[in-house]
Amino acid sequence: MISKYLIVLLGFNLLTLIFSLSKATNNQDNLISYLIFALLTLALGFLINKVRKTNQTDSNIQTTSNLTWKKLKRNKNAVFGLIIIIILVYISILAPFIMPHDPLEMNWGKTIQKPSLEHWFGTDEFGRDIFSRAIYGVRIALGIGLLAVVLNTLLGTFLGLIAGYYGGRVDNLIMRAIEMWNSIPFILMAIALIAALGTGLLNLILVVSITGIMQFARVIRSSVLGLKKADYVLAAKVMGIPDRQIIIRHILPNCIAPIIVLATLRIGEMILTIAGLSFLGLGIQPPMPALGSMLSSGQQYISENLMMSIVPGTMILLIVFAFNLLGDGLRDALDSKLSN
Amino acid sequence: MLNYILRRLLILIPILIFISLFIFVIIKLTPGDPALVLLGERATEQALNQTRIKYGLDQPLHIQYFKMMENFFKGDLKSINYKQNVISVIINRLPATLELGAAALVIAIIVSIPAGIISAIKRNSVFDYISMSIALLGISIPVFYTGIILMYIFAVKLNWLPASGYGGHIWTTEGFKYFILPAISLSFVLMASTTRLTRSSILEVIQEDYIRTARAKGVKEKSVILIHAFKNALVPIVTNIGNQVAGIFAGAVLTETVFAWPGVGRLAVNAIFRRDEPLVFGCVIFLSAVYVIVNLIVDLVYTLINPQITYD
Amino acid sequence: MRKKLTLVLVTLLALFLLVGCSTQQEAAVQKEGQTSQNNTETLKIGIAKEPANLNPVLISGLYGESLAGNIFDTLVSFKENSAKASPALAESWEINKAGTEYTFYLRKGVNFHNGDKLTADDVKFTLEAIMNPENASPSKEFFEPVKMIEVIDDYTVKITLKNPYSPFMMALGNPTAGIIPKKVVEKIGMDEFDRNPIGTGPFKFAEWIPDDHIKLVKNKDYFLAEPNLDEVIYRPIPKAEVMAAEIQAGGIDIASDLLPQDIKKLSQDDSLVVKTVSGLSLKYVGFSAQIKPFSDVRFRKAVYYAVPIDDVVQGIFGDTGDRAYSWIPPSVFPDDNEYMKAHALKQNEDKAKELFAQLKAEGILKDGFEFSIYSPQDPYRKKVATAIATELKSYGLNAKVEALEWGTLLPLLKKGKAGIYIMGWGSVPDPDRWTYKIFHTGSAMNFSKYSNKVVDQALEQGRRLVGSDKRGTEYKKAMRKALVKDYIHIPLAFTNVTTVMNKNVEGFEPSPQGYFHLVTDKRNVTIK
Repeated sequence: MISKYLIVLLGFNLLTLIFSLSKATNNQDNLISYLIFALLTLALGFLINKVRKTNQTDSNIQTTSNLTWKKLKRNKNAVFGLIIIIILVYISILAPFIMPHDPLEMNWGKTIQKPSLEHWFGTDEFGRDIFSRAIYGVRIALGIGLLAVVLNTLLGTFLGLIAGYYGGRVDNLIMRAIEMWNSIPFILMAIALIAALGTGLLNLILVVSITGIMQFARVIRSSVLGLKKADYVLAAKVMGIPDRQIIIRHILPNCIAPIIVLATLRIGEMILTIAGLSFLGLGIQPPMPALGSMLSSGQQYISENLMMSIVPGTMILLIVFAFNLLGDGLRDALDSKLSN
Repeated sequence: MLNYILRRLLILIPILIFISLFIFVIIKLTPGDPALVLLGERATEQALNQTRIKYGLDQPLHIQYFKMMENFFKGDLKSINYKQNVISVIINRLPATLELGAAALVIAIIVSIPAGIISAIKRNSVFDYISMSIALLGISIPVFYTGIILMYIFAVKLNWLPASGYGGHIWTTEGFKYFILPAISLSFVLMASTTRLTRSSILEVIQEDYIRTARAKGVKEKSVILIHAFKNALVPIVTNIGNQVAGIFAGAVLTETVFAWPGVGRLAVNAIFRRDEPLVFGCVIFLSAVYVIVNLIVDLVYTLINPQITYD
Repeated sequence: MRKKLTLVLVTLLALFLLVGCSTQQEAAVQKEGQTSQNNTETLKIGIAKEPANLNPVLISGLYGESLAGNIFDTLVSFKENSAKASPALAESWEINKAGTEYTFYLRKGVNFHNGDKLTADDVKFTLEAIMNPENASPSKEFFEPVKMIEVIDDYTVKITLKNPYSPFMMALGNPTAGIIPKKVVEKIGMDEFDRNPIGTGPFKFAEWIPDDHIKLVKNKDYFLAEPNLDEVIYRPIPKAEVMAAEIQAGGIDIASDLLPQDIKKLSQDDSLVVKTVSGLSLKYVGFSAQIKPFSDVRFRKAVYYAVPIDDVVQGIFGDTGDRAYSWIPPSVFPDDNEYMKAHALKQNEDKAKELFAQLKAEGILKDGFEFSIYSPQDPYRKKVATAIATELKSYGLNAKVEALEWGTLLPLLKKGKAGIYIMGWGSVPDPDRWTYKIFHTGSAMNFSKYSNKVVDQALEQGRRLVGSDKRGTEYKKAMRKALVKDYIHIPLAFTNVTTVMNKNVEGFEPSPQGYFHLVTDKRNVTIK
């Protein structure tokens, strides 16, 4: 079932790998992108292999991942979201091979041009190609968004697990601390933190990833509270298995569903936050192309070239929209408890 | 009951102490010099030192902190930039933000609750599909993007409404015109999430036994939905709106910047940019306290709409 | 149980409303005042930044000066001619031959807005307040040469200087030297006066709602003429594109600090008038004279060769600025534009490559060298920084733009920690004001920490020589050494002052400093 789509994808990957080989060694950026893409292809191959094996051995037994896939597939929105995300991820990894121009290349003779054959979405105030910049902007937005979400997830999950599992005082302490943390308006805190730490990619990732751990910790804590009373956990405890192992082996795997759902939904929020910070001049710094700053400079040229604001704005919208669609679908498919 | 409220208000004290410490550390970590921002690039070293002494910036850090706390609670903490009491600076700006937030809230509720209910009743209809797509788009769009687009269309192109600024209180006709665009752009996010939530909670409630019973008893469909279902679906909706109040403050920071709105959000951001340390301190503590109190009110509203919850 | 709860909630709600009402009452009173006189002539001016101060002694920036110019008067005025002093509060004056004694004869019958008479005591008080270190006045430096201020009689003041100082009249004519009432300030203090300024100018301060507007109302008894305008409202609008939208939508009558593309667009609007004067402000690229590799003149020349400055200036400033080759604007004496232009470097990739290669070979510059180009959060300068960073990328230098808030940027610059920075300067038309503070060793604005004996001596000479051609030679010498020998800065553009105004505003002209002069001996702005 699922493997059919994956094989098509694999075929596409292999073809792309062959065609872009000539460009791969042009510079470091290209080489890294090429290697990441090769790794992705390899992973895809393994996945297909695994799915096939499980399908062959017990075709009658419905595994959870199979079930989830079936549920998810029925949800047209989620599939739509997933497809957009896959396309965006492909675009952002393959950016160096797709971009018709260097996103940094300026051309003072061709500033603020309307779309043409040479520049599909026109050019900006530096004469840079908007299409290439948008692609590169998606790459950066996704990269930062993913990193921040991973950090955010790790932190939130960790706190939620500890609070839920140990309960009592630890729980109280952690939850109160998070509550206090959360009562500072988050955008203010982000601005203050960036002002204190300075602008830069790393700081940006750090700041957005610590500003929203509340939701994570809360949800994970409540599912841990439920799991804690499950028979197998109690049994493990009686057997004297250390807490750390119980948490990692028995509790964490059962929290994966809400974690994935929340993380998916959070990516969108993070990308919006980063765009907001860029709008205030605190996000990604030029000359690196970033959707948020493209949008805010596009506003200065709203009557000269609408493309300058529409393209980055739509890209942000598309990314966030796709992740929200998928997140909603995953929530329905994975976890009914989370539907609030 | 009263006990519960008291307890919740008491928690405010450690929260505020924590926040004050936290923000103080951030302020002090921030590079830059309030005196230099105030006096500008031409200032001489002597003038700078004079200003630092005047605002106590030359004292050791712990003394600065206790002074700030003491002055804040005595109501003597003075903003470096405005040369006025921090609390009165904030209170002066509060109406603009509160009115904007309230207007956005009202717009969101008026639009999204009926939209959510209709979507739930006519599930999978064209209306449902369209309103849900719009709602999802609504939470995916950057709040400043909506603001600029609205301004471009309605103020610049059509010239129907003023482009930016604050024209007076919302209940004056002149002031009202200024509210429309920022309030709509701020309400977008709230609208989207409330519509989605209303729909899903109504859907959930409809499957409950008592709704079936009511239907079986022959109660009219309209009153089934409006009285029985809606009343029970209200709890999550109110929670969400309560949670979003904090989000309104956050969104207000960006909306107020776009529309040059003289509210608390922009005040706080400018204070950070201008290194007005006392004002940053005051704003953050004040806004955090507001957030905690709003949350308390939301919790209390629960008990009104759902008598099963008690806090004793 | 539920009743109790309702009670609690109602009380809380009432409390909130109370807070709202207490602030609303004041506003309501003002509102009534506005509506009662319906045919008031109100001029609304959009400004890019809210002033931090209105007390002339404390004012530190353009917008404060611009407002103060309408609330206060100075002894002499440069409002109509920025190069020549004309009478204002002082009807006439005498300067002794040595250029060290200034005697001012004040105009009689001038009253402050509160009705107090203006006398020589107020003048002495004002100037001494600026010089008093306790007030930490940003303009203190301009009055450093002052030795003594004497009140001869109620309407005569004599100022004695330690040594001749040519730009002294300019210092007196700047809005930051607006005369403040001694009695009032002594009573309420400098800070309180800052929020409730009282002057002698054409408009009285009425109200200040931070980040929203500052309102002035007319001073019927203004000594030059009764202002035609009843009210002036200044609205801070930080985003230039919003400012453009506002002037088009009619929310303001005069817009300033607009972006070139907006000016182009607005000039096609029939209901608007665009007026431009060449301004007195410069944008430039500065290099550190102390941090390696920026301190190596070859590096600075290489950057100059690498970046197509002409294209960058044209592309970013458009019609709002003209390419600059020197620090001293063409309209200010001495004009040495031709020499400077001839010695400016044109883009030349080969030469840039060669110089970078040399530096790399000597180990001064590493391949992939990472550094920041600092700029304030102003769209023009941020773009210049972006353009330079992008150009340098193709030479194997990893530059990143750090567009910082003033609060972070200024301390960094003052400490000389920025290797490359994009900054600006604006001043009055005297060569000293365009050079000494920037190029003299140890000066406050010498962000490059540049230090050169020849330049120092020339600048010191320039201050001492009064109004002679020799003075011009000194400044030419200093500029030639610093800019086309040491290349410590790359001058980018002299920016114009363009204001866009509603057609029905009459009598307004933009001033080269970007001030808004509304009532002078030659004009009295009105709305049709």
